[in-house]
Amino acid sequence: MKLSYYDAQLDRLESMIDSLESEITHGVSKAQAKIDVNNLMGKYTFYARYMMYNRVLSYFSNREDVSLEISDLGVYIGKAKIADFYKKYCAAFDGKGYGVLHEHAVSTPVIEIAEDGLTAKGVWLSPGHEAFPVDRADADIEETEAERGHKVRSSWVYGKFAVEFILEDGEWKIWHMQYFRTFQIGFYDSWTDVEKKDAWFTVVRSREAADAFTGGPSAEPTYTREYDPQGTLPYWPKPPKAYDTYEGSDPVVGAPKE
Amino acid sequence: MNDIIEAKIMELETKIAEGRKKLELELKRADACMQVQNTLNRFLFAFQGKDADACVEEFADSVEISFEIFKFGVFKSKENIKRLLRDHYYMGEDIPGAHIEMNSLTPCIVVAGDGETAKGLWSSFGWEAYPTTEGPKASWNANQIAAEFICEDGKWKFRALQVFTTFVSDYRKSWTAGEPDWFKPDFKGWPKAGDKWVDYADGPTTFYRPYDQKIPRLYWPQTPQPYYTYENSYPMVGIPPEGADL
Repeated sequence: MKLSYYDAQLDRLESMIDSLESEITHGVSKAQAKIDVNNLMGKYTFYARYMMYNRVLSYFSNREDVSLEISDLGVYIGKAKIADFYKKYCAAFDGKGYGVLHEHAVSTPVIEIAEDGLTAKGVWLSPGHEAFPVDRADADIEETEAERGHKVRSSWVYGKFAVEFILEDGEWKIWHMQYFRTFQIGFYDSWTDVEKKDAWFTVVRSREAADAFTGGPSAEPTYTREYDPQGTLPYWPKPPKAYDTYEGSDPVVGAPKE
Repeated sequence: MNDIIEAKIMELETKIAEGRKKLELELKRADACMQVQNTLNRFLFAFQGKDADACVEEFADSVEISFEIFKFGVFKSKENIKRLLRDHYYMGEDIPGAHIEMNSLTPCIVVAGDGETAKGLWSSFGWEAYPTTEGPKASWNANQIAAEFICEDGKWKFRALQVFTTFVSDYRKSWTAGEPDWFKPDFKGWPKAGDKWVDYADGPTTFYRPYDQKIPRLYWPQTPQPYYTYENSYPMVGIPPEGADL
């Protein structure tokens, strides 16, 4: 047989190995991406609970259109604006941590990695609890019998995270993050206590108070619906669907489409 | 000499093809661990979003399915599951304040050696507001969620899903106080005229043993054990098999 025949056979074997290699790389990197993205959210929440916002910031993309939206506080666009938000938010709640408890766990993940491997989307439920010192002039919170005389107030804070991620220099980064608060209510009250709901934590809930320490958002909030014992809560955000590329895919952040 | 080279080429070809099959299977099994979590969690998101269609979309079409929650019995068709979700969880209706959220936590997942099925067990904790004629009532829920999955056209679907109640307790009472009145079959304060306890299950409740301080806890459901094919594998749902170490 001629040598060219064997050359062709070797080429064929080589291309079989190449295709196998690329299939393995694609499969493994998609599986790894899901783990990385889930870990990224875990790291975000662990550092956020200790108000370590320099670490938190490092998880955000360097793109100009990077964004952060937390419940009704508006949309913060660009890393400098997000940094400012965190810095002032942290300072407003006594960054040293005295009396502050700020734990928002993430659970129930639904994560989709784009087929092209460049972006990812995810949603998480987020049960949480907070405590804040209330010996500040702007904290006008009704005291319950059990809390009388104490200088910190505790609350339940349940919500959802919806996040879009982007691969940047080989690392997954938060591109668009939105936290949807479902309810925040004092420890001694329940989420169905209508009369207590609106009075709770005016310092956090009031946009004016928030703007005063964050410098104001880049844009108005896109979605502010919370659980209302007298109304219905729309199904939003929704889990991401499998998608090929970011362009044209259904967003998980912002307001639901009409 | 040529024959030897030809044989070697064939041997390499076979080796590559076999290697590809093995790797594809292992990749599928690794990916399945995340995919089945997505399936359960899409269901839980749709459940809190009161979208009955999206809930039943997560169930399989190619095999018999089952769904069991609380003590309503076993439901074995998508139609009947949807009916339960609409009637008792008020999905698709604007009942003020109605909301149930269950978080999935502590996943323990095993994918079959053949990569065709998977099983999982989760802890679950959540909050709810159950509608009554006096307005929504707040309660905590704690459960264990056991599920069996099948891969259908590349998508992981439930073949069995059972939410085992650990407790449902009034927000203002502890789990040692038992379930609130509005979870009892003879409760008269449900919000719609004609509301009644579900009576169209496809089978009776298989296992309902919430926390009760007077009764010892049983280790059921159990964490999934490694298995190769679904047939004769240890079940995740229903009644504990005979001889189970409970």
